Amino acid sequence: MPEPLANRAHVPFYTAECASRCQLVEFQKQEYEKARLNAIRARMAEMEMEYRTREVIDGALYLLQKPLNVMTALSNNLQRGNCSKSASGCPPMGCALDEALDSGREAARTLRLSLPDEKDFLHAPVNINEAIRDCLIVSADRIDASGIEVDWHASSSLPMIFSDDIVIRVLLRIILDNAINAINEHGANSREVSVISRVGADHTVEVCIHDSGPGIARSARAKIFEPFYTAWKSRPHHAGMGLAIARQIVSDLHGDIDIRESVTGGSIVCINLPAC
Amino acid sequence: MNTQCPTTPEEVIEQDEGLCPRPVFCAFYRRELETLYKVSQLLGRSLNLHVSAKEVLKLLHEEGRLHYGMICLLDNDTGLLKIIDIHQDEATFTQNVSYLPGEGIVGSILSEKEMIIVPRISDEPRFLDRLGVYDPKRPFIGAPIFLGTDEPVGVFAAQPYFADKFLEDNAKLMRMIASLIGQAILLSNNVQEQQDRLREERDSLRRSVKRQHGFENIIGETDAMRLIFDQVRMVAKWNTTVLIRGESGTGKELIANAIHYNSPRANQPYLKLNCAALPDNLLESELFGHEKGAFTGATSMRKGRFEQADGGTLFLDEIGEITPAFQSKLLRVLQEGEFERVGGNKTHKVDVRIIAATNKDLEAAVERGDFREDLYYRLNVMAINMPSLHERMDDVPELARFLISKIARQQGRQLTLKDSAIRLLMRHSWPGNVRELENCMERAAVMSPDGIIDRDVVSLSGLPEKTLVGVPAHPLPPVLKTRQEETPPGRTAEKAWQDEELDERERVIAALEEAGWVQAKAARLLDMTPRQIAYRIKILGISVRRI
Repeated sequence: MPEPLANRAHVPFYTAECASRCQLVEFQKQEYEKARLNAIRARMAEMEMEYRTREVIDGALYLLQKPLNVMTALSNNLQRGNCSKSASGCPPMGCALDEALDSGREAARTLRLSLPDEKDFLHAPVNINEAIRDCLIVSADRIDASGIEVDWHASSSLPMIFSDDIVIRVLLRIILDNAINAINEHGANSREVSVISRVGADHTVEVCIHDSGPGIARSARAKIFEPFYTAWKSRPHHAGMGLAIARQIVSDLHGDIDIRESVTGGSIVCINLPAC
Repeated sequence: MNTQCPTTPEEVIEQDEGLCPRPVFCAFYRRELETLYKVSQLLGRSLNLHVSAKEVLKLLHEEGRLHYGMICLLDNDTGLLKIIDIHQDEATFTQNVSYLPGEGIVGSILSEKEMIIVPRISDEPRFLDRLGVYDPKRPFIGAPIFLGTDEPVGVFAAQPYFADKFLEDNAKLMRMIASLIGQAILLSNNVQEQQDRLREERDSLRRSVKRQHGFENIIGETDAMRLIFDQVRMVAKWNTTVLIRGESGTGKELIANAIHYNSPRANQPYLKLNCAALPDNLLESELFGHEKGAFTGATSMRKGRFEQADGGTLFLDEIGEITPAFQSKLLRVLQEGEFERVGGNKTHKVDVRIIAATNKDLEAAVERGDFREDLYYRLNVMAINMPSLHERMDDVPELARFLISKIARQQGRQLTLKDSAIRLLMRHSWPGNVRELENCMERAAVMSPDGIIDRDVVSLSGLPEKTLVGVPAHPLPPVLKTRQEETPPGRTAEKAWQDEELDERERVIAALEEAGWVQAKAARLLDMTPRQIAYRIKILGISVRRI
């Protein structure tokens, strides 16, 4: 009977066997995607931890260096002033200062040794829209839990950027996390995050993440990228490393990061990365 | 509302009394004028279309008896009519409705470029009722919005309460409001366009300035310079006062630029001031500003550098030259961030990062009492000591090449630096540091007619033989940037990587130098695979310059 056959020809699953195979392929695809995302999630967590450790130790070194520098200046002056006059060697205060200085320098040296090795990242062309998509999926649980609506305007013809594929995801994830934090903060006028990826000026790729949170005070704008600085008032306590890491990553990629307030309230974080 | 305003002709006749023969018309036109006045006021208040549109629609809904006003604009990307705003009272409904030109009643207004007045909307076949807010029994008026041209860019529509004889007048009012909205859109579009263009230009200029002052333009491969780079990278992140010390000509200003343009304040103002250039009282008014009439000639109020640099960075060069009286004022700004203008009472608070530089021996100045001790400690929180060029002789070849290429760009001609010239440069002690080297290179470039700079040109351009140090017989190989004592004299840099006597690290470095740090090239020189050389770089701990 040719007629019913012809009728059935445009039915997607022609036979039961074919249908089950298609389902299997579909299932395998989903499983593969799940495994890929899990791998990315694990590598992102690892990378972020590494950046965080380096940033914390760097920050601690700096904080240690400040008093050390003043003490060095003090001890130099003491030696110039007193020791040259009195032949009996340094006064006890000078000795104590020198000892403190030595132990401080030793502490700084130990800290410096515990800095994780700088990895040479394998830089390759990365599609930033793919990275944004992965980040949104990885953060999906948090976004859902906070009841946030995400709006993503992706430009379809975006040039690739030159980066490590995990580093760029860590960067986007930090900024996305920040936007979510801002919305959970007291004073948010609505619960929306919009992500825009587009071609920027001067052969760059621009990603702007706009949140509807309370915005950042002008006086805090300069400090926001400083390590250990946190503007979040709500619990849990944050270490204040997020944007410091983001800035480090962006400057490693020879890009630009800028934070500004938007006309509709909230703040916009814009990243400009050179396209390849 | 019915009690105030008659809406049917019968009511009009009933209320017909008083001085005016047709008082209801007077009342209607007065209200209309009032509405128009308020709308024009609202539109003039803000350039943000969304804000003013909302206000206008609210006003019309509540006072103007034009209900559920809607403003649609043509989206240039999709060619669809998109609803910009629609008045929402207690009911909220989706705004994600759009029309094709010619689709529905709203679309027809756009495509026909004509106003549409329907006494009863349910009688209109083109009415789609997509929004579900319009009462089918009531009239509907839609007016196109023009932006100066004949092509409409949007539609302004609303629903009057009754289909009465005022419908035509309502339509006229709608047309007027539509043209007012058109003007407001035109204005806000123009302003937006200009702002976008300016922002783009500003960002691109900022990027180019940032590129000019990045680490790429500071040359240095020696350990001393690596330490400086590390310090700058660390300090740039933090909002701290930095003191840069070093002899004249070592590039203190370059380092200050690098700190500013690599800091989070890079997009904020960056001002420089040479403290030695001005006498004390002028310096004060320059830094802190002055009020009008503070001194003879102060005809107007002037903002000082500190105020101008608010949020950004201020670079104070030659900080060792200021007098003790001024030092105490500076100390206060450093500690509290507070100051007063000259002749003013008001205390100003600023957030400025200070980068100071000096070539003076501050310790000696403190000892003599010329420099306040507290200011000295305050500045010394983060000190960067620039090495003199004599301490980093190994950088001379690369510096010379960099400067020559810079001069070549300026002069617009090809300049080549010969190795013989570099060997001569390496024997000078450079008391004037990099600045002296730059001047020397500039002179040499001028002296060379054919663009080739060799030994003769350099010595002609004023490197007196008697200032030369070192032994001319076995100079340091210019391309082998390792320590002097590690390299036996007499060995040329050429083919150093083939020398079996040298240890492996030296050979790998020499090959890398020769290959311009291109690992694949260096691997070929050493007869290795790229993997092998990468492994050696790793285990030998050769630091490939990053930044």
